[in-house]
Amino acid sequence: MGELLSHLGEGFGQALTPTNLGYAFAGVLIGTIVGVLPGIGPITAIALLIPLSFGLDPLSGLILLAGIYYGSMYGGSTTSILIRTPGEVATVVTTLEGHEMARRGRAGPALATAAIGSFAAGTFSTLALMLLAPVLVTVAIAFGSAEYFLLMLLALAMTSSLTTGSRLKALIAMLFGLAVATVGIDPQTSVERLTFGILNLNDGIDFALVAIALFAVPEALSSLSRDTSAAEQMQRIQGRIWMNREDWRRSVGPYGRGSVIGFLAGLLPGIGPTLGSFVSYATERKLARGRAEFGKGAIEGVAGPESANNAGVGGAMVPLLTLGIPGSATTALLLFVFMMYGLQPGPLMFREEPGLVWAIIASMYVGNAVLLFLNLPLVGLFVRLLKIPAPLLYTGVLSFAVLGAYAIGFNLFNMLLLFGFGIVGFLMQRYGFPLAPAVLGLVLEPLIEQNLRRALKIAGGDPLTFLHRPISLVLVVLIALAVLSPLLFVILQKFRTGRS
Amino acid sequence: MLRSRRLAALASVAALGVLTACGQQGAGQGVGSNYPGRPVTLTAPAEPGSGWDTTARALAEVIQEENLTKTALPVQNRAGATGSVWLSRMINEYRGDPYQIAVTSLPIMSNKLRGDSEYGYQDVTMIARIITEYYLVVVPADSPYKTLDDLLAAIEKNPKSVPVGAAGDDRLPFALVVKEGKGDPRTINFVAYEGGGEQITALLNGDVQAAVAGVSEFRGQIEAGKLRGLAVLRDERLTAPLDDIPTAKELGYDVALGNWRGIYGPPGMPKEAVTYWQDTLQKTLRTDSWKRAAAQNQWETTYMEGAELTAYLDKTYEEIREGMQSVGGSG
Repeated sequence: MGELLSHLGEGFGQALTPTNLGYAFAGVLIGTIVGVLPGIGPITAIALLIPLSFGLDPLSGLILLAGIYYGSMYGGSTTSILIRTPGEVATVVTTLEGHEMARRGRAGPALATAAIGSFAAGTFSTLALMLLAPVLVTVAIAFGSAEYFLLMLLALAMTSSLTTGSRLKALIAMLFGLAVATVGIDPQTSVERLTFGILNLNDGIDFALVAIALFAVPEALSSLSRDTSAAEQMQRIQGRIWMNREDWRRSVGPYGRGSVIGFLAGLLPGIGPTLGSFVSYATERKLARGRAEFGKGAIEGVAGPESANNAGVGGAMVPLLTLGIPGSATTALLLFVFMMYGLQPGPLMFREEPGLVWAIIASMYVGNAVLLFLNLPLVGLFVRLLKIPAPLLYTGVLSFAVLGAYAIGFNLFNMLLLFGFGIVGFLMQRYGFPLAPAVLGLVLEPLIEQNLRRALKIAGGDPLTFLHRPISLVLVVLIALAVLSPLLFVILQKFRTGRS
Repeated sequence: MLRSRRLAALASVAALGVLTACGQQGAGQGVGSNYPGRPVTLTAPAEPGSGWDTTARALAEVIQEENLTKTALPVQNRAGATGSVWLSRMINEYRGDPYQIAVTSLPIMSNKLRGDSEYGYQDVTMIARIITEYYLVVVPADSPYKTLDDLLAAIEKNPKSVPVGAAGDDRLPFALVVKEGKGDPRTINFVAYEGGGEQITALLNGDVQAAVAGVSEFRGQIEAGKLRGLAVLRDERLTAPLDDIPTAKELGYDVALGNWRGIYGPPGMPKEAVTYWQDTLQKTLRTDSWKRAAAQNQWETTYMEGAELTAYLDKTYEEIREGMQSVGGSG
């Protein structure tokens, strides 16, 4: 423990020089600005800006990149809240309550709680990474394909709680997402599915593109199609820009739960921050049980998921640093950066290069803290964006959505997809189909399908394989509970009323 | 100095934005003596962090660091159908453009052979081969299979009970080994994984019994004693600390297949531009910065150009075609 503290002290000693703090500020600022553009999430931001970090000494470079990473994640949340345009899939859930808050004039508290939640979760996950990485790594690899499949199924079973409306419509939306995700070359057999001979469809349809199309485009279309002069759609800022006591009280619990959920989800390679944020939202909603105004701008629904997606960053660093296994494209890129700096992440790194490991951890702390200090004062500024008249604002949203869609693949085909899915989203919204289950289905389908087929191949086709291992058995029981619990609940209530 | 390079990098990022935003095409222009007069775009036709991407970025980084070109060399990612989307754009939109180069490797052959891509390496200007990565067969350290023979015997006896993790294009080399061992490659229980990370996880949690991929994917885990290398598909052994892994050839399986990685330009790329890049790449690969980057990424630098390269590519293409036919659907 003493050794750990001294290493960390050294890391901080190096990280906190004026120059490095300057890089942290620059990184967070650039990251936030770039992250505000839809479609440009952390991965694109880092890929574009990597050249800036080379030529710096490793620590400064890492601090710059950590700043960009955190900044771009937060930038995506800002647009989700203000203009219902998720910068990337991980912030889709934030639009659900965050944008509702903004519509009710509470954009300020929503942005503030997102920033504070991100900071709290970032700190928690960095601490957990520092103290528990060697233990947690066993969790990261304990999940085989059978367990992955069941875990994703459990996540899908929980989607029913993502919406207030009809369960059937939520199910249809989810199936739509699943169906869209099957487009592309099947990774097990290399067979083209639903590509209609279009080369651009071979890799499937980008998640972020669909998220932007489903959320931002319909929002802009419906705002522009209404007579805005008659009835003002978006309410102006009401009350304080800052969070009040009640907001704080309601945010603290979600910060904690979101941090833990996000961190655990981030540990599993290949899952990334999206699942954590969805599960956190579902959890908060279950816990609130109608006490909070879920679906109408509940601050818990912003605080939890925003904490979860930031905690996922720390979680994803565990398999990366201890095993050299990158869990996502973003961490794969970080792996490359580490290698260019002469680091070899993997089982030996903690032993052979403790100095640099702690420098990475310290740079995560610094990036995270700078994010908070830089963005809280900016909340007031961002909120003022909403004062732009609706026609101008939503024309701007549409142009950013188009720019973002183009930036995802740099081809015109993506624009067609953007407007195609945008129209689908518009119709879905019009007829009361929730959008979030569609996005979740889209994101989870590849994991569900791949892992189901792997598990069955590994077991030689025996479906009982899902009951053999303890973790998978527990997951099966949880899924059964999630599916049957509403039914049990009804029976229980009937029983009670019958007795009384 | 440092500052100016960073500015140049920033400028190149900005330039990249402008260039791509304009969808600029430079087809057919002649190349004067001051080539390259403006930034040349190096495309990694895959996601950031992938093998092609890291190769492109390492190259660009070394070239800029050593001041080997006069202009910026921005790296862009254009993922799509294992490189086929970008390949077709290079052919259809950038014909003759001296300001576009890209990274490629074995899939430019296998995609065409499988019918997944209309085009192959024959349709573009192959500038040079830069590195080669050899395949390695691994098992977990506590596996009952101590040698390649053990593994192949188990596969022959009951193929279903020995799941083997391999990405699409990495199945062929293993299938060839099984075929050499007189087994039936069509019965191998291949489980598809997308990268080394997924394979390592699957090996460590017992999902698969063995895996095959490029040496660099497994090296860290072998050194840490978590995985055991059974055979490397290479003419000679690897260097220390992996020199105790036998080659398949030594063990009596005559399979040596490498995944080459190289640089190509659009068809009809002006000769001067091709020569310029061949010279620049050769200079780059000789620098200490490149040697360091290559060592860290465990790439074997195997530069090749011109007629020799054409012969090599043709031979490899034939080998893969025959391999695919001989192992049936499993390759």
